[in-house]
Amino acid sequence: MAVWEGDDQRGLPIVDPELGAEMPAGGTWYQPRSLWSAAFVENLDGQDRMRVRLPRQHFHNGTRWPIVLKRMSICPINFPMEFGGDDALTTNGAQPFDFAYGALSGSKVRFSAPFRKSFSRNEIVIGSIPALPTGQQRGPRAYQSSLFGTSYLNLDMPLHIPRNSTCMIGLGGLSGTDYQIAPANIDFTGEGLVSLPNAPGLAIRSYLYFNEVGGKFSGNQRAQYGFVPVFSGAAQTDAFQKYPFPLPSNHIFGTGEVGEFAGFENWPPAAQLQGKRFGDQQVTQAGSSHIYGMGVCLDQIVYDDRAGTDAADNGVNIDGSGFKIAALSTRIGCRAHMPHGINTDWWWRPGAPLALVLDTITPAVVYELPQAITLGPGDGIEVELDLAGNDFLGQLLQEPHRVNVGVSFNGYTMVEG
Amino acid sequence: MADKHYREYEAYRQKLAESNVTNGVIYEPRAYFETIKLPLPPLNPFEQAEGQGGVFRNGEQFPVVLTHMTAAVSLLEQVEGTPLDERTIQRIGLYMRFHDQYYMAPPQTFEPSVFGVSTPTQIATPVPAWVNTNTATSEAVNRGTSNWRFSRPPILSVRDALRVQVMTPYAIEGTRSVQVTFSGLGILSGLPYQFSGQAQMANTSVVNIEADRYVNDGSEPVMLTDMSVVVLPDSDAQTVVQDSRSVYLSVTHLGNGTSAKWFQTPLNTQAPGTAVALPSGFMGAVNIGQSTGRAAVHEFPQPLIWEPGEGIDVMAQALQTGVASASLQVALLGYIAVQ
Repeated sequence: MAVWEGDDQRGLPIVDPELGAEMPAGGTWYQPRSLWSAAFVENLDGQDRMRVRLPRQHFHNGTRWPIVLKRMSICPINFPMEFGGDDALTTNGAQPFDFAYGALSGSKVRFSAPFRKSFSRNEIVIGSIPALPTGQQRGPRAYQSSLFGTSYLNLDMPLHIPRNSTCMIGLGGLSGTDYQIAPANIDFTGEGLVSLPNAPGLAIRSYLYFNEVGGKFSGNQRAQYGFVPVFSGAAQTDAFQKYPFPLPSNHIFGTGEVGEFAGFENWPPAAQLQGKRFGDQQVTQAGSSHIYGMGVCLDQIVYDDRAGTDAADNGVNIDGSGFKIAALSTRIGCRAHMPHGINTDWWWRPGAPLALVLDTITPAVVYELPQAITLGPGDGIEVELDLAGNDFLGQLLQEPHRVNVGVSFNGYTMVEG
Repeated sequence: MADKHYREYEAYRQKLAESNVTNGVIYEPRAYFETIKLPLPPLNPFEQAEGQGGVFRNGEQFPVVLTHMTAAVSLLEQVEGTPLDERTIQRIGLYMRFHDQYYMAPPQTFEPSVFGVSTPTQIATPVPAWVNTNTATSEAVNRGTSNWRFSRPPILSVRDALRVQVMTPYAIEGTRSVQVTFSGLGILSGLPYQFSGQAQMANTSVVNIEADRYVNDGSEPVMLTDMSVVVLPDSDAQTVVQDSRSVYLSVTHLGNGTSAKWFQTPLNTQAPGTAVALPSGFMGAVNIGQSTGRAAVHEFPQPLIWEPGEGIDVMAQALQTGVASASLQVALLGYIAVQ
């Protein structure tokens, strides 16, 4: 894989395609793993800071095998990118800022790992640790989500797929029964998108793939699937609530209903690269194979252009009207595992935002932990967030305001084969 | 890259460069570049399109190793000559064929009802799905800057020179400046060197950057590690916007190099949306961006090796209606090993 000796330029160990076809030495199999959670916090009381302890069970290793966590990703979830401040402020020369990352900039995180008092004595200001270069180029105009719409993960360790085994990755929403906010009236028909018979209005073209090691063209995406999701139900109700899950119809920092990420309700069949589809492409029919990366491409063009009442100004409205742009990878959940293979556990709790778990190319802020954290069976991490409140955001925003932030720890597990 | 890895990497590259001297093997950058124009009506818009042909071939006597592919949409649409939305790249597919092996493998089909016209049974992999390398830099410089970190650093021997030429086939508001820089390290001293020159273009003619900017008149050979192209905003432009797609350039190593142009490109071709002929050997500046820039970059997990005469077929395909007037600029980057 590399053009020079030693680790390749991405820091991955070289996998000899010939040896890679055999069972790894010692019978140890590696699979990606992520532990994630998200906080949806509403600052009803005008607090200066909002402290949130993320659910402990979300960062608990409930499996039989150790998990090595190498990176931490933090991302605003379902959070619009828009200018901050009102007309008066901008008239006076206040610089507009990105609400989504403005919320992160004023926030802190603290986490404790087992057998350590705390990973850091003090809360870590998000942004104080040098982040990995994971972003993509922006679109031609300001506040478009990204030029390529790609979410990609370079696996820490190649994923061995035995003969006739399969992998799957699927997309879905992040809706919950408590998160019933009426979506904005968005018309996605027309240019670039298709109104399908049973899904009036919404269809976002997406592409799911695994990068395979081996062969003359090492890295061939022999397992891939492109689709346009099909949904049933009325355009402004079920479909919009479930995929992707909607932004509030009003300003996100305005009043609205409070909810939590309560898990999944919808995995559209057309949005899944299922084990059967993987198997149909005969990746492992002749023998085992290795995967070194996986990704999702989301067509964001029409989505970006439809956002806002005036597409010409990039869909960004200072007065909070209209539908706000958010990178789709922060608004779409995913799940992945090997339905037939060594270990069938989900690689992460289903419903993780793409931006959090596919952290090689992502809009999330990704930190490489200076020392990897190994969680044995039963171990866990405690994660606390100290979120920006009135002392930072409140000065510019109408009250009360809300912050949605997701945190994930990403790495791999070692399964004894 | 962590400091430790970077130091090891630099030491490795210096060792490679020294082998140039001791083993008599010369490594020189090579890129194969073509603009593939998607079919226009009345042709089927989803028909797969190839370039002019013959570009992606090793026509030299020595093997070529290709490490990266870069792709970007052209600056203008084919017919109207209006600016092309860069995001169109999300709706263009790409695949390569080498001795009847496909890369990437054609995927399962999209749902037939999607296209609304005659449905192709197979589609090419969308260009964004090829991206496996982070190349985004700060927005402040990203749109006009492309950088190429050479996998095998070429050696600029003492009294060697580089001939760098630039041109633009597009309209200019005032003048357009381009800066081309080669960075490197002295083989004996390990000190950094930089050879940099700037050219101003006022029309579509080819401009030679002053030759003395790229002459090694020092006392030691220099290992060239990086090449950087910066396209500055037009002098009379109303907005301060750079675009690395607006410039093409050519590089030749004079002296102990091969004296061949580094970039192999088609003959007798025009930039999409213009009537301006592109000279042979000129590659789009955006496609230089192997390490940073605006192009979609794919690093081959295993480099492609072309023996003399070998090559690859590259095909593009519109994946959606409304894309047909776009063109895709594709480049394969690597190096030649000359003995």
